[in-house]
Amino acid sequence: MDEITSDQLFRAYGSSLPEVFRTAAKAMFGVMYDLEEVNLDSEVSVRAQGIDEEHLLYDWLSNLLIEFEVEFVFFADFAVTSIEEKSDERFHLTGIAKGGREMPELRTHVKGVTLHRFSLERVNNRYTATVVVDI
Amino acid sequence: MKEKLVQQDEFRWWLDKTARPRMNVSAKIIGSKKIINTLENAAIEQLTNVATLPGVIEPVLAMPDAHWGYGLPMGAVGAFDAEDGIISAGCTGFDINCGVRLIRTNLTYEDVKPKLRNLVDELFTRVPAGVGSKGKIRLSDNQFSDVIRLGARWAVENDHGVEADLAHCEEGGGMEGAATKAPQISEKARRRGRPQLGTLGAGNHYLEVQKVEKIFDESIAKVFGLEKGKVVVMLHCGSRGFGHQVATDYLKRMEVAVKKYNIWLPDRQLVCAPATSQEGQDYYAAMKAAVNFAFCNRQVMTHWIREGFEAVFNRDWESMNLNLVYDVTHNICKFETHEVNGSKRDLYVHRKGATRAFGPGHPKIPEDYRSVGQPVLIGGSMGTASYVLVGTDQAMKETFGSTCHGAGRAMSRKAAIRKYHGHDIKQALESKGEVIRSMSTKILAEEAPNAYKDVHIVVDSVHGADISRKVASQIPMGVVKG
Repeated sequence: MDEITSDQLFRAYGSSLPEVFRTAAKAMFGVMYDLEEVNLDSEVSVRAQGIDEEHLLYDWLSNLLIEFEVEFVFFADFAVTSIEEKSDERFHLTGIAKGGREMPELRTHVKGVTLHRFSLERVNNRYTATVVVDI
Repeated sequence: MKEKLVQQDEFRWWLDKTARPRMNVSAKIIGSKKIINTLENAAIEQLTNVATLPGVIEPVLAMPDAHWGYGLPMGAVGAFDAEDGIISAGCTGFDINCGVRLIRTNLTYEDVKPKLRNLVDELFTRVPAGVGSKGKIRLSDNQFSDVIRLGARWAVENDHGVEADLAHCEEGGGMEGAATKAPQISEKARRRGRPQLGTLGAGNHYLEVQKVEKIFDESIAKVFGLEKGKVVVMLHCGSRGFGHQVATDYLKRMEVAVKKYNIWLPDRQLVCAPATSQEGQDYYAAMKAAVNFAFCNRQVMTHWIREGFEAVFNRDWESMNLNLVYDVTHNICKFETHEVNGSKRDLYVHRKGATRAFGPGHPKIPEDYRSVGQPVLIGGSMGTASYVLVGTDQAMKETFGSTCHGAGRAMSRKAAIRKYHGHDIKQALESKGEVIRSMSTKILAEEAPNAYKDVHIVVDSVHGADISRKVASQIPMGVVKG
């Protein structure tokens, strides 16, 4: 975790695309509350798409924020079930966000995922996502 | 970069466009030496980034509450030519029309003090707060379209306010020409926004019962209806998930536009589109919808605040004179005409954490305030003072009619949580007689008063530079936070 005066930067790591998508999602919701305080009693399906893997990550994180606010589920774990490049030349993701309806104690509210320093890098088989969220 | 700042006078600092390659214009920072000493180098670099964008008008401005954010720093103003310039979703930020409104009362501190706990509890019950909070208003799809088309007028037409409220809002509480549906407004944005009308949200948003502590300009305070010792209510919130989603949608769309129009960006977050392009105009129409949502949101909550006072004091709100002083927005892009190098120019003025501060006589100021200038509402950090300022002619000449918006953060949120404990903050404030109600004590730590700059120093800088003048200051009595 790095610190920007008004916002929050985090880095998430994974040995595969699904894993880095999962750890990035956990890091983002971990900015808002302690994930261990959440009982996993609900599931929401989430889809995302993008012109490349980096845009796919942006869409995934942004769509998770929508589902969090609309479904009112405090997400704490995630599973990416598929990532495919389809005939429309876009990457498509399907995933599941798991969480609870009981509100944990909140630290802050993530309003959105910024593009400031946003990146998804792959070195050998290690993926690193760098994300700044607006809070 | 800080070493390249040239001090012009006690409150003005100039960063010449030669400071780094690709700057089209110079930048200016308003603030005392003390402000400059604490300003992060990264925030100054972000100003220079904005100065590289096409059609930018000199100077790019930072206010004394500026701090390092993403893209444009918080507390900054970037103006762009309406023909040759750009409109930027990145420069406007996520919380479109985050703003402040102030409601006056004819109740004195002594009237309210015995019932303060009851009053704050009542307001905390009536105004939904917290992350993901859902409003008490259930909107049909068509009603939601009306909300984002009409803004605060929708609330007034639906018995959540009176006509006089609209006159005392920037833009009359609603911008004309807002988009309501696809393709400008995504279904995602509508879905996210619909349940959230009439909600305070969380983080730095709050509702505060305040006492007018000092009057700096008796005659202007009288025009604004402010009296020493009287109780006022300040409401700080924005466009909630709807505005956040509009911003998200257009960050993605403008990233494509940047490539299409071959715009060079020093920071990906500064995504933009030519002002006259379809992408630029679609964003402007969608942003207006989010602006209108926020005005309506604050209007609906104003109604509940009035009902809360009625319940506690057992009188109707009119007899307590709970009228709107003003409502300002501090995250927005506006089409405005300003004098640039001696001639009138149409501009898109981006204010991110900055407040419009139009001087006396401007037609956009409500008639009853026009002779003195526009009220400017400055929210301090929790537990410290807030201010009412007035716009000046100097702001029109120098800062595209803009001034600061608040105290501005001095410490990151994570550092604040590490350093402070919510319970201690609450206890310290309550020992001073304040009543605090919050959905989360951790949010109290993040918003600890010492995590912000000293609001007095910020306000003294804008007053000293004469881009707005002090009218009154208020101290908190009770706080409701998400």
